[in-house]
Amino acid sequence: MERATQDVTVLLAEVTKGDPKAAAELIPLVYDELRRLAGRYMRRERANHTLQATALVNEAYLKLVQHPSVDWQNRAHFFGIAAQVMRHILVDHARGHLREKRGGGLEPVPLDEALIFPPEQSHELMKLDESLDRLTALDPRQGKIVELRFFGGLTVEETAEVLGISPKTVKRDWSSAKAWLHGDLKQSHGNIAREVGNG
Amino acid sequence: MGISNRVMAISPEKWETVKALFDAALEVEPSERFVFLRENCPDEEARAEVERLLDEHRQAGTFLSTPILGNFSAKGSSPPQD
Repeated sequence: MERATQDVTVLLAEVTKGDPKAAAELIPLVYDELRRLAGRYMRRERANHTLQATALVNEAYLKLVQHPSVDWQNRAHFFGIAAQVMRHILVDHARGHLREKRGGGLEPVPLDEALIFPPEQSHELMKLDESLDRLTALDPRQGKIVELRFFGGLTVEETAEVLGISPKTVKRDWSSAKAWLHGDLKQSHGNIAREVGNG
Repeated sequence: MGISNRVMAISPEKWETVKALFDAALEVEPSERFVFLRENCPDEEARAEVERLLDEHRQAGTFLSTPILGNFSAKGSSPPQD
């Protein structure tokens, strides 16, 4: 684990400089750590899943970056990556849950993710994830803003810091992104059930 | 993506224009937006898209305003700003 921590610290520094390769290498490390911690939290506590998610990512961050003082910019970038990772975890979980419902449970939902996300919202999440992919194809920055704000829970200011743009730009993009997604979700509703059925 | 009756997608190039107009239109009184858009947007396709988005904006309400799992805020747990 020590070497992994050093790797993460180096990678975080690279990510802060804007190296996309470093971000890609960092994601699996963060993913593994978050999954592991998620399992531990779920077994230990049954309370508000909102609090668990926050504590979960904070703990993962502290474990992975054992520097006495990490400046705020590094933390913001870490949370930006965590947002992306959480999106993947949640969508994978939703997909697994929907498969279970259809397929008679041949593929059990991993226990460490079983309680992170309310199962009844899986369908909605899948719809949103696909709409978000379409928005990202149209405007990558807007897609990232939605990922950071909705999946990562970052504030406007934090999102601005991670992306290196002004808070005003974030607000504008966020506003039109929500409108666009709202419309796209309505349009895709009829197709999504069929697509999910085709697995 | 399968058979779809979704409206013709706006191009990424026009999308920048659409976003700017959408933002500007929101600053204008709702009753004046119709005229505002006709005066500031000669491109019919872009204008239609802006009007569609304004309509969605009105319907969206609290859509996406709460993060899916709460806050990963780098500064600690603070409620979402939006």
